[in-house]
Amino acid sequence: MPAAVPARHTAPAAGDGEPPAVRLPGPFEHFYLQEYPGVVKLAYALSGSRTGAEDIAQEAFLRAYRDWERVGSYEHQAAWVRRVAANLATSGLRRRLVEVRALARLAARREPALDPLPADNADFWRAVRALPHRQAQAVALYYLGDLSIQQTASVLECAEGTVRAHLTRARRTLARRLQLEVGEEP
Amino acid sequence: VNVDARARASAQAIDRSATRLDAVAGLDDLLRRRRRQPLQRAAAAGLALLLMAVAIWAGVALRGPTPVQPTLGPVTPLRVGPGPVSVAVTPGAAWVLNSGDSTIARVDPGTGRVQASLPFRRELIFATVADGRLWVVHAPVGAFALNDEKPGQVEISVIDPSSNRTVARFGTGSWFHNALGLERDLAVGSGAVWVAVQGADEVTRFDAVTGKVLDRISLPKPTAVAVDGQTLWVATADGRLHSIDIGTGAARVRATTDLVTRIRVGQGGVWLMTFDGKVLRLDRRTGRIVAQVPGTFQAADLAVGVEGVWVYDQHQGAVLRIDPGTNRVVRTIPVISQPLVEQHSYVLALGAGAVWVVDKAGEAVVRVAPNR
Repeated sequence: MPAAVPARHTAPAAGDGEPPAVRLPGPFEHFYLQEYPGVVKLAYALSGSRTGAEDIAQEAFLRAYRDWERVGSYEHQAAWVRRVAANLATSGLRRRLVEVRALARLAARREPALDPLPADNADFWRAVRALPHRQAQAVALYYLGDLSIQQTASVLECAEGTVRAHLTRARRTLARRLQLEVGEEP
Repeated sequence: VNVDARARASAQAIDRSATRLDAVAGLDDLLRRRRRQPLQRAAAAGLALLLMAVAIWAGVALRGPTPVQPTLGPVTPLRVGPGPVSVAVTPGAAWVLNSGDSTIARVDPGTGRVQASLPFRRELIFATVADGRLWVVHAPVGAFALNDEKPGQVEISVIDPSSNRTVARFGTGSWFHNALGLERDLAVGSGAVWVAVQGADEVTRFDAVTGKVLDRISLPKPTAVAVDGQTLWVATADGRLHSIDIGTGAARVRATTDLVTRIRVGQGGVWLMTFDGKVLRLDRRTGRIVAQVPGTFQAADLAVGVEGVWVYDQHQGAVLRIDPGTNRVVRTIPVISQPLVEQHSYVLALGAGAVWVVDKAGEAVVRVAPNR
């Protein structure tokens, strides 16, 4: 069931002075408004950057928009944009570029919309980001996006068995690093 | 506390941290970004050009041109093991499959010296490079004996060049004897390995990490396969060239031609080598054959890369360079004095600024540096 689409907001952000000049096509706008929060959270978990997460999400949606004729025809558009955001967020160089852009914008404008995490939770995501990229992406998608193994495999474009293997290895590593019990496989 | 509980609690913490997130304001940002991006890209490209010009000037003005220290001649046969059958090149290494002692020689492409010899104890069939790794197709020793009633399992091993270690290995079914050149072909892309198995009348899709079979596409006697972005090209023995959308699995017959035994993508086109040694060019958008490279050569292998489009001509024992602008042979470099008639093997590879050819009769791999 798609989420309700909020009313279109057209006023420019305070201090920006650059009103949007072109409206986006209806289906893309709907897709964006529905998926944006989830993609920002995913980017936050995988990049660890409050300022950069929104930028990563924007970049992912911009790529979807540029190729909307193709992406819009996909059955799993949400999976596509999450995959792009997850790759952007785990690629060191691209993440740093995004971070620099976000900081520049932040200096001119506003506070990040994301709050800092409590220490325990911040430690957990820091440990996730230290995992191999594919394991980190699998953990973030599975727990944060509350996706099933099948849906996670769809986003990562791999087999369900591969996702299970990534999650199992990730849990073992996280348990060791954070001194937790591995626990049962969910 | 276990990992699962901590993970769920930490996911909820991120949810709570995002209460002020405003998707609608984000949409406005997106609109602005979309408008600014062409300008930013142009500025970045200009800056990159400026930096490049400064770097070139600094290199030439301060140090002079970098002296080239030739260690190998323009055409150099390298004897790196008995019975070489296939060659492939990763960044920094050429890999030669030696059937005589079932080893894989890792060769320094600059000096031609063997850096490592990896024992395999299997019948080595061919190797190719994808995703920066070496993919080796092999079978049990004796699997090719014509009277073998129990053909062995053909397997693929994936070797990481940074460690020389096998990082994955998986079976692809039995080997079938046939008269159409190599019985099997493989291509890698989109996280999967695609193996065309003529004897089974199918293209099998494996997970590139686990080796698990993900899909089987029934096609009559697939003879060659290649990945081109989101498109999988498959040639079948009936002369049809199929394009398969990797995302949806939708298949189309794009062209009908002679029997194709090699498909290569690059230099602006899809290049086909036919069973009788012709080279054709296909328009990847329309799926039409747009050119046949003229000449009397008989191609035994075809390679396309940053070094260009190259063919190994088994009649002359020469490598031929094809100009993708004119679709004509523009250079012929003789490399092998007594060429064997090939069975469309993987004997030609590009990499490290050179063209590499296996000389089976001469028991060598020949390194050709076309720019020298």
